[in-house]
Amino acid sequence: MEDSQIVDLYLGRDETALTETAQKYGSLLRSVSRRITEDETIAEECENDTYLEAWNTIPPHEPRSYLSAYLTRIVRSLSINRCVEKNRLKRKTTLCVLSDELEECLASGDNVAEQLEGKELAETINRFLREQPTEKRIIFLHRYYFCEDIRSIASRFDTTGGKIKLVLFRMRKDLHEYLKKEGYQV
Amino acid sequence: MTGTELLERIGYVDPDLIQEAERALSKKGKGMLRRQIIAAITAACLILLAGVGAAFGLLSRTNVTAPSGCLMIGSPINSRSPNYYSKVNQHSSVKALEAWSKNGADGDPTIRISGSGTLRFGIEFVVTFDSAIASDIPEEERALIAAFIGWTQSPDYERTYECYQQEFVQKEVLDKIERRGGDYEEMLQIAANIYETTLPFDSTEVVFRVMGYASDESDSAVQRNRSFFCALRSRTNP
Repeated sequence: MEDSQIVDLYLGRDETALTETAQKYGSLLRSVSRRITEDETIAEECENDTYLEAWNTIPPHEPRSYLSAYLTRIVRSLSINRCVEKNRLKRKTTLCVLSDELEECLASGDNVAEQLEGKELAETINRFLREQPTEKRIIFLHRYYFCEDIRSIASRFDTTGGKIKLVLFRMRKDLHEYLKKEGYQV
Repeated sequence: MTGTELLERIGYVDPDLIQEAERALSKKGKGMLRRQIIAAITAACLILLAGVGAAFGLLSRTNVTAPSGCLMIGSPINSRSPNYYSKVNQHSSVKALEAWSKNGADGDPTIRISGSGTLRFGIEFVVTFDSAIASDIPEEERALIAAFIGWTQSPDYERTYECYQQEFVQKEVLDKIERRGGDYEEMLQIAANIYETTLPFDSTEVVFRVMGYASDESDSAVQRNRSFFCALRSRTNP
């Protein structure tokens, strides 16, 4: 079923929207959550919470052309929150590694949080990503949005893990510089 | 702000960028799947080819016949490769044996150069190799074969060869076996004498034969390797 039709089901408060969503995006959502939480049960819970969240937020939202992005955004947000809420999960490898990597963009003791509202920061990251070559941009999002491990990304791009690591390292450095250039003290 | 929070904020990048990455994900995923399928097919073909090759190799190995009642083993003096038996069909002594068997050999004691064992004649050799085709060779023969293979495979081959020459083979015997194309029966007798006087086997049914150097000058491999042969008369076919 097309995304637009699924959104129509949500808008019409038709509960088959949930089964259609699960059928089309269930495995994607679960895999994203699993990568973050490293826990199959929690991943399933996050997946189900995502359907509920979608049910509650469509309407007013109508993500006809970006339903998958909409859903993955919810599921990763829920998964990260679950990890943060529970110290036990917070120490999960993937989240720690990804967080540590992104710390490099922020430098020490920065006060970006005070300077940037979440939306502003997202827009800054958007601009940064749009200025990047497509492949680098995709690699960045695979790593920090879809939370894929280096080996998988390397395999997808038919290259070595070392090369992917280098690309990401340079992008983090560039992002750090970009935030500085945008006037944020990082 | 922490890295985790930044990670969370990255979740709010534009949906079109996410869609773009997702499309690449599925596209690349298909490419990866295709590559995996190709790799799997290639691997299957290679395994099949390897199997066929191994089968041919085994056949050619086991089809080489020696004179009736004899098992033969041999090793080129210059061969030091630890896995050269995987190349046994290129082995100069086997080539020489083939030539030998063509020249009047009869019967079918198949060459079986497998097994493991230890033999002590001044130096102890312990060799373990493929025993799949050695199950029907008597244990002591396997030990002897293994010992000789071990000996000729030894990194100290030349030294042990010297040892062997000095300790176990009389000068006159060596003189004779170094004469190329020596009489078979005479060689066999010499070998039997060597065996009886030097090897710690209490069995006259096994005859040890030392042939010396290559018998076929035209075979460059044999020339190069200066093959050294050992023949063991079968216990069941003396």
